Amino acid sequence: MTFDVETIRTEIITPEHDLVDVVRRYTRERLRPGDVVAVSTKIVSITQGRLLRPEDVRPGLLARLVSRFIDQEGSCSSPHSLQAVIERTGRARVALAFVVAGCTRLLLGRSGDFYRIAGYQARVIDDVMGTMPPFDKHIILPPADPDGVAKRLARALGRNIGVCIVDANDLGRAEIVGASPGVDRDAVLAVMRSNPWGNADQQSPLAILRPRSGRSASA
Amino acid sequence: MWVRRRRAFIPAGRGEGPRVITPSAARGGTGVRWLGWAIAGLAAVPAGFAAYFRLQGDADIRFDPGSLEVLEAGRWTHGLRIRFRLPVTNRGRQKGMLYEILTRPEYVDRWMKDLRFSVSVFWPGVQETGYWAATLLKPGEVLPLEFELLVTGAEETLERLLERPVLGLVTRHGVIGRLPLRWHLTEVRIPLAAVRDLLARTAGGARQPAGAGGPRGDQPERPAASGAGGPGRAAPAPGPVVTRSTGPRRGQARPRVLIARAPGGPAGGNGRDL
Repeated sequence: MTFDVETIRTEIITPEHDLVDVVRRYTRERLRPGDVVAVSTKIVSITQGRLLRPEDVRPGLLARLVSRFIDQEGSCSSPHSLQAVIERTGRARVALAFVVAGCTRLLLGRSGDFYRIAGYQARVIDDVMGTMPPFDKHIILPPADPDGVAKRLARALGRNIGVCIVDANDLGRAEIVGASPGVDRDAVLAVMRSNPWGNADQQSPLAILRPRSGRSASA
Repeated sequence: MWVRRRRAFIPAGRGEGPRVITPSAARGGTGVRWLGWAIAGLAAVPAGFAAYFRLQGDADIRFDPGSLEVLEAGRWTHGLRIRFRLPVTNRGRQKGMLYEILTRPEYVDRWMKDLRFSVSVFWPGVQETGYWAATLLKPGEVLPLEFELLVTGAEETLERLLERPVLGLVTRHGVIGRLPLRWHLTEVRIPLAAVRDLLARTAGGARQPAGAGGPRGDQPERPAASGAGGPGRAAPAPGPVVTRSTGPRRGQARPRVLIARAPGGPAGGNGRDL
């Protein structure tokens, strides 16, 4: 299944906003049965208040050590964001990810194992500068309970509307971190890999994905 | 000091030659030797990391006060505006994030007490609102940042300020690289002679009377960071008296200047390439 994508520009979403209200307001009268609403992880996290200032994070020895070996394009390359991951994932898991990823990189020439092993927090966290102002000086933690958020949004939007929470960037990487039941995650992922939202100041954290085929994308 | 080893011979097994062991091994010294190797191995790990980190380096993002250039000066009743360029350079070997820039004037004396200062930072063509959004700098990259200083207060105090040789500012900027956030202070000296020259070059005198276009002193001044000045420029001067520098670097609108890295070069060396 393929989708036509319509991105939606919004106001700047802050922790004072209610996500359900925002999504309902900006998609009202645009949705048709079978549509899937893609919501950026960033606005889900921001409305959940999952923001940190680097000044409030004190990197430990493990964060200082491991972050030195991570490519500077990655979100965990700064000691602050990696410390935030360690505090939520655990030292043991991050240390294991570091050792295993180091071995596979050296022996097999494979990259990306650190993020695979360190898990969701490491993959989806946004470092300072990863979000447009006024949150450019914040670390944005991954959304809590993304599947639950997607379900609640889908209920609020009405029958036959799917919702997915997507983390996408300009490096061609995307991840569906949460979805309401019935959404074809692979099909959504294929569309969102091109990051139709953009990574600069497009300020469009919502998108409506309309199936090109006659089949419905949601249950 | 070398000590000649004595050798001890033990009876050989069938089909074997004599086995030679040292006296320390005979006393259980093999374990001590292994312990030594283990300690050496453990010490090698942090030493290896330290060597790697040293080799890897870090970002070193600094302002270059020696390359400061006054670009514009504006003067109106109860107000003074100075716009100057102050390049910032990543002299390190790693990318670094210029996280925050904060600027304040240096306190000179009590007579300045009724002056009010505000400073906005602009990156022409890229960040034009006066708000500094965190930015990543590659090694060797120079950003030709422009600062706009707005001073308001009593006329006599402003005149007294302008008579001084320099106006001191302190810039504090935060950098995140391979190391966690660290703050750097830079003392900046604005040559007020250059400001006076720019003001004097203005046709028809240096000032407009209050009510003749410029904001009055009792009016709240328009913030310099309104972002209404068009591409690459800050908001226009509140008053009509604005003079722009005609220096050799004026008008080179290059938002990002990538130059060859000058490892460990003195401050000011990179700024000249602008």
